[in-house]
Amino acid sequence: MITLIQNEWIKLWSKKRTWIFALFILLITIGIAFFFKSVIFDMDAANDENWEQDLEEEIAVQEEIMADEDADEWQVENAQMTIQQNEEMLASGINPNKTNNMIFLEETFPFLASFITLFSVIVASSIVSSEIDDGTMKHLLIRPYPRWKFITAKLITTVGFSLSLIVVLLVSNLLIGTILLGTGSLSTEIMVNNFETTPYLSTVGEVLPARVGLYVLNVLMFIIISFSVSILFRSQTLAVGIGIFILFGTNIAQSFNVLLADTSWYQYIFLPHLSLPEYAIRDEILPGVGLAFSIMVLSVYALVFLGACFTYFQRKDFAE
Amino acid sequence: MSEAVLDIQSLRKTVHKGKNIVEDVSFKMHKGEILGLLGPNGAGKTTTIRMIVGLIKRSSGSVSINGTDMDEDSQTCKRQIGAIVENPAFYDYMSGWKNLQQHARMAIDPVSDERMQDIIKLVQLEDAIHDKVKKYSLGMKQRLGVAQALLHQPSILILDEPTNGLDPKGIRELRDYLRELADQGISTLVSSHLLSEMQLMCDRVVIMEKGRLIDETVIGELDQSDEQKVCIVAFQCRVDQIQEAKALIEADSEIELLHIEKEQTLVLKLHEATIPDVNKKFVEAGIDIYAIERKKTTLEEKFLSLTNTRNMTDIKEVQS
Ligand SMILES: Nc1ncnc2c1ncn2[C@@H]1O[C@H](COP(=O)(O)OP(=O)(O)OP(=O)(O)O)[C@@H](O)[C@H]1O
Ligand SMILES: [Mg+2]
Repeated sequence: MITLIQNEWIKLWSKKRTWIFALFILLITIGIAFFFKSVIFDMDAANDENWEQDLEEEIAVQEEIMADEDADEWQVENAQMTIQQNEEMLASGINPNKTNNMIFLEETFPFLASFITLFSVIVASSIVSSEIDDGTMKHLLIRPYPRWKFITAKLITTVGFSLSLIVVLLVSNLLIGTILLGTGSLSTEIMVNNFETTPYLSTVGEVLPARVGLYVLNVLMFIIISFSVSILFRSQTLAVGIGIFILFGTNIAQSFNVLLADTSWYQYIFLPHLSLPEYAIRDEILPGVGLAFSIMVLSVYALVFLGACFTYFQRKDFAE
Repeated sequence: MSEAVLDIQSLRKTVHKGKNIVEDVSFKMHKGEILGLLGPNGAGKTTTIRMIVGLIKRSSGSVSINGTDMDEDSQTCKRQIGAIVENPAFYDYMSGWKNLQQHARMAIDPVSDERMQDIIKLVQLEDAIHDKVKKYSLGMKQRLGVAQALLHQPSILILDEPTNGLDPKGIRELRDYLRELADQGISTLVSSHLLSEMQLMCDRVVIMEKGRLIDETVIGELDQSDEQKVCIVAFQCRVDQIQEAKALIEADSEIELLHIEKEQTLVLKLHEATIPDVNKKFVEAGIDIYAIERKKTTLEEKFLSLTNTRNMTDIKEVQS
């Protein structure tokens, strides 16, 4: 089994594509860091002693909007949220213009990680089907190993690939963050705004590890789905398509969440659960649906997908 | 006769709609034997080989290797097989050497670098072995395929159309090498639709058509009874002497004149042993012979009459 994994790992990294993916993660992280430094965070303002005044001014502006009778409902809500947030920051003395590597990592991780999900979907969809298409699979299957070992090795290799990219992301992010934005610590305080409860104060140390850990589980699920679909439907394209569809689908699902939350079946669909990292900042993604339930639902789906794909692969006739 | 190293009993493959593409195929291969599986395109040779190596399921029948039933212990059986099924396929983004390494790692008994070097030398790929397989010609890939199949020192070699894409020199080398292996006790099952090749390469040939075995011929036996061996030979003379030559042949009851080609070539059916006598007869009668060419041999005729296919006429070419 170890040799099979070793073989898969060597094959994976012998492809240019794999290196391009890794390089992309590295470059986009650096790019985002410069963007953050120059556009999002105003470094001059960070040294400005008047940040409290600025926050108060903003509160005043928002209060005017609230007082305005013509204002739309969403404007009022938005204003309310901003006021709450600003008041909270004033109360706890957080300068929103001050930043450091920790805040940078916390804020950019979800966006950057979505590229890792995309690349993982591509790798998972092609790692088996490309070998079938190229005709190299038959050379593996005539060797003295049971078939399931080959696809297990491939699955493990894909997971290893995703984990490597996550490491690349974390390390490069911390390095460039430190260089451009300075050192912070895990106890750096941040405002958490999950658009449901009132914004509350937390620390990077409380949110980030959970975010990363949950992301790993989430991407594992993406891998399992794309991997299985590519085998079951014998189509790399379909698997990548479905993977990307789900990737965007989870964002769309969040808007359905409100609509469908009351139906009895919606919580058993895997789509809403595929935004596991959300649990880093909230307890429930649907009313009454917490982390444990989500993981349970996803596990059942994972088992069904893997069961189907292993059974199919074990019996398949290779006559291509 | 020694014990069969490969014993195939009533293999059958039924595809959709109950069509049998291989039916009731049984044969044995002995230690150190080179066995040919001969048949026209679509006869079911590849299907039979796929069933033997376990790429597709047998609808019925059994395969045993050195007395071990494939169903009981497929790992033990597969360890002893080295195979090329249809066109050998490789990871074209890696070098030939790295491709072989992949297979070396999968071997149950370790394969030394020395062994790899030896094999590469044998198939004469030393110069190109560190190039990407992408750059290989068809013949080079075929050679690499043979190297790959031999790498783990199997006792049974199964080669599906191994001469496909090889030049005459390559074919001769392969033939010599298979003979060498046979002398070491390694048995080879080799499929082809070219009879001439089979005749030079194999000890025995089983002939397949439309999914069934239709005949079995021991080539050695044919060779031993040269006296009795009837063959077809073309004698080329000058156009102005053709009538004279024809008259001479027609006077001999032992020789059958089949037809005259291009008004200058007599195609004769005669006993192999009498070829020199016929030549002498022409010379004594003052008829100049420009070429003597053996056309089809008896096995070829047999094959043609058995399989009754037109597309087999390309046979005569490859007499390297
Ligand atoms: N999966 C399948 N479903 C239906 N028919 C099939 C399938 N695979 C092969 N066949 C048919 O079975 C027959 C035998 O095919 P096979 O590939 O074994 O022939 P072959 O003897 O290897 O021919 P060739 O010399 O062209 O390689 C062909 O007529 C082919 O169309
Ligand atoms: Mg074939």
